[in-house]
Amino acid sequence: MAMAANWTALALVLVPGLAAAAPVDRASVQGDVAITIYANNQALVQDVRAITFDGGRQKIEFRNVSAQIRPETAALVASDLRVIEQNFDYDLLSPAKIMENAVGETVTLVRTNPANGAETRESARILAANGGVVLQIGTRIEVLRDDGLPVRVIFDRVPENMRAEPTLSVTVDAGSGTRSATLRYLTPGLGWRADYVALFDEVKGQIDVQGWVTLTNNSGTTYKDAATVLVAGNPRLIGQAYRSMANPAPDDEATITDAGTESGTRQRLGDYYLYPLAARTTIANLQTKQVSFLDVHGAPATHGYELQLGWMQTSDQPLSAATVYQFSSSSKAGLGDQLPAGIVRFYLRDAKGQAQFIGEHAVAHTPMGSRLSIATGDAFDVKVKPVVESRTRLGNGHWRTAMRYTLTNALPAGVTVRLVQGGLWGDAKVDSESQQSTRPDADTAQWSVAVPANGKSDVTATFDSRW
Amino acid sequence: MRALVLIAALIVPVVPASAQAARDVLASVPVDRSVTVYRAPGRNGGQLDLAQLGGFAVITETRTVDLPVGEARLAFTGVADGIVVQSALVAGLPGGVIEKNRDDALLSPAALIHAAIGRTVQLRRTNRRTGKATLINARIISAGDEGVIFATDQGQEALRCSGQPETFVYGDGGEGLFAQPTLSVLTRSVRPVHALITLTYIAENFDWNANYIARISGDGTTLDLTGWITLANGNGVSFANAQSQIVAGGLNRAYLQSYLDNQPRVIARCWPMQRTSDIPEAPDQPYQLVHPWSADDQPGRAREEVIVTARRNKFVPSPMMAMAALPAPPPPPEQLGDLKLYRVPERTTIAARQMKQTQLIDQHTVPVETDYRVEVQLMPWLTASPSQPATIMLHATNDQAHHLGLPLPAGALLVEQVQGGQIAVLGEPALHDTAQDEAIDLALGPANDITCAWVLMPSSKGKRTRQLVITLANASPRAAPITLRMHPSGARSISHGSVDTAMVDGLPTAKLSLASGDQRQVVFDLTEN
Repeated sequence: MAMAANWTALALVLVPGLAAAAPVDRASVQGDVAITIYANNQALVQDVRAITFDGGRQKIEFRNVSAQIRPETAALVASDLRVIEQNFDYDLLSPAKIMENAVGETVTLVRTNPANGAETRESARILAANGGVVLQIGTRIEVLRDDGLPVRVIFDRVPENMRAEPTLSVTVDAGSGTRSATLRYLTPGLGWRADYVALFDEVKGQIDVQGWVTLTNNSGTTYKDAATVLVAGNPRLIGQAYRSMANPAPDDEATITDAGTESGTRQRLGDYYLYPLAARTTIANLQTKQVSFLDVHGAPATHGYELQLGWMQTSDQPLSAATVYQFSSSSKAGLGDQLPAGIVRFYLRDAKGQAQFIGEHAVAHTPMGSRLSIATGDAFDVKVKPVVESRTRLGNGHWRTAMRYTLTNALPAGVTVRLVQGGLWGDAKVDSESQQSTRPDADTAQWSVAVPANGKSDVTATFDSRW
Repeated sequence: MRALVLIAALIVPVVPASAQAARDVLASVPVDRSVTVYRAPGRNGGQLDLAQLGGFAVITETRTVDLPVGEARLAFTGVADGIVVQSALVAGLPGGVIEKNRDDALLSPAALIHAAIGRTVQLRRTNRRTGKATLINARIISAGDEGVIFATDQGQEALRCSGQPETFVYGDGGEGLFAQPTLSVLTRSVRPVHALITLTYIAENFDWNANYIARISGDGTTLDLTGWITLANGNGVSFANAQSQIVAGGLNRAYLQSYLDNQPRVIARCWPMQRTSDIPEAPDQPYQLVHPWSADDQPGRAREEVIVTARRNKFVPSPMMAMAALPAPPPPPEQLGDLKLYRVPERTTIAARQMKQTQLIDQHTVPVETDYRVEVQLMPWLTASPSQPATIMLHATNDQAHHLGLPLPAGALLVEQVQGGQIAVLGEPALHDTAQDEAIDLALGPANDITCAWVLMPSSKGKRTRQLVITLANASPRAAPITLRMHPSGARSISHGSVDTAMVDGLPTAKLSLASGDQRQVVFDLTEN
């Protein structure tokens, strides 16, 4: 550590002695940073920096902004300051570029004698940099390093508009003095979602849910001691589909069975909920950060089974029913909070009391008061075998299809399975059935089937259809 | 304590990334570990792919920590590299978890030079002849994948374009960079504590599979069924002396992972470097950039690059581990919700990049039935089918009467029989997740001696009816029990057969027996309605 300190001191002493080629950089240190992160990989960064103004027109370069900054969204605000123009330079300095820019100019060559290490210097003018570098030295013309011997090329200056990294600069007309200026911009590369841990207790019919916000910083920059607010909502942004890397939208499978109507007490911004972090935090580059926002114990929950069939067909093998867990986000008998989009991971305690993972599912932004039904996987012991018993043509475009569903249960307790037959297209009718069905929509009919412990139940239904 | 902090300093940044007063503390290595391995979602049977394990594991580690008063950044090392960071849970911290962090900004040559942009470092040049090194100060102006430019008090130069050995020497610059991806939690403690904590997380790149061997007895009426669990760890971390569990059943996974992938890339490249001795390969490409690192550059090499960036480990499958003395088959699985949990009876070591096997079941004299299944696919556009072999089928029921009656996780089932002192493999059908009391029907393969052909003939019963004539033949030396399944597609029906049929799985099905060397015709009416 002591050595490092010495080096820093040495560097400070030596910097002024070096060639002053760098562009003017007056505001390279992050100031008071506040970040608002949206769920769709977008963030609004507000950076209040102390800037010393010379008075009059001057160009200010900003370093330590997001490497993925959207420069068109940048705005600089300070008292007694007028912005004349903003530039974003992205012509990056490289050996090839510096050589191409030096065509016609004079550089210094340092040749090293491979035998004794002796250095000789001479001036050369660069004639061309096509394929190889052609030099004029005095009256002769040479190709750089054509003989493979060591030659260093020293340039007197760096081309003006070239940068080490893309750089935002603002030309301002400002009164002199040091004062705070606010730089605000949008950037992709910062995003968040929620991760939930749900521990289900079968005996009590209860669920414990912990919620974590997970934010990731892929923006290329570290934000020091930032006041951070997370917004549960996906504001529409132009070109977002192109810019966003992974859209954290859940898959098609819906998890909300009844959307809620309760208003939460959390802070709001328009129609979005806000999740401010309790303390300032440093969001390092390439960091994933999690902070708890929800911890509910003993919310009532139920465990059920579901099998959805998209079409009337015979399956050679019995199909596993899906295991579903149902609970509410209501303040009465529920989690009592709205749930930002993310992933719910379910755990159960095994016989030794250790929590074991039993499946996960993505959830969408869920209002408070909603009923949720989340499928965690396939039930090993509860299966349904659908069979097309007969297909009869009653006339042109008029058919009768007889279905038999054999539900089996290898568990030592009775279960109830929600059996859903889809593919009815709105024009199929249930002619006869072994137990009463309901029609949640025109395309589907559903039965709630009780299957005894270590037993089976049959459901038969005849459909009158157009095909 | 001092030593601990020193160790912590090696793993967590040299200087903490944040200016907060949090102390860096390193959790101990795991004192206890539990690994629960899950099958790749959606793979119901089939084989393990060692190069790409699609399953995962839930790992629970018990570790000890010594926390000072105040805020502490507690780091964990030696976690599986396939960790799903968002799933990590830390329990047992008296002060709770303020925030969890996972840092992927790794210390690498590229990260060092990238972090030093705009700063002054030392440039070391070594004379090839004398070995004498000279150190001068240099300020790095730019460093990226197009090359490196630095300034000395003489002017601007490009790195490694002179043909001399040169490199940067850094005084510091490791701030906020980590030796390996690091998981840490920020916690607060009101007094110094020694605590036992548990870390639970999901890790990718594990998998397991069930493999069964069914040995059919000489008379073909029973079989002995042994089952093995094959589990594989594709991670670079070993789990020594761990409690191991395996979970059977299909689990839903949600993949919303966004990858952190902007590790800096710095490549030392130079300006155009073609020589007069190089002949352009094509008129459109008069030159290619050549990196003049060494004097003996080969003309054929178009572009030489020194890529300084982090590199990931490749998976090297290790040979299967030989089993030690076999323990007794594990007890029946435990019910875990709607899944099945198998406990490996003894603690075991799941080494890095290892596949290992443990016994699942060992059942003897399971009564089985074999028959030959003939499928008659009456496609509307067909009026005849040439002779096709029947399929050998093996039937049993997963119940006590069949000396089974336990959950059978999906896997490959190798059916074999001893013939003339040699073990002959009859087939390797896939077994899906099979619950208790479920029927097991396995197709072993075609029986070329048992054949079936069919033809449609005109019928005197009207123009909507055809006569279906099925010809069955048995060229095997034994009588063959046959199950004939007819698939009358569309609105057609089968009736008036010369043999009785029953509706099984919605299909008219006849059972008959064919003596050795017999050929037999069975006739049905096929009626359009």
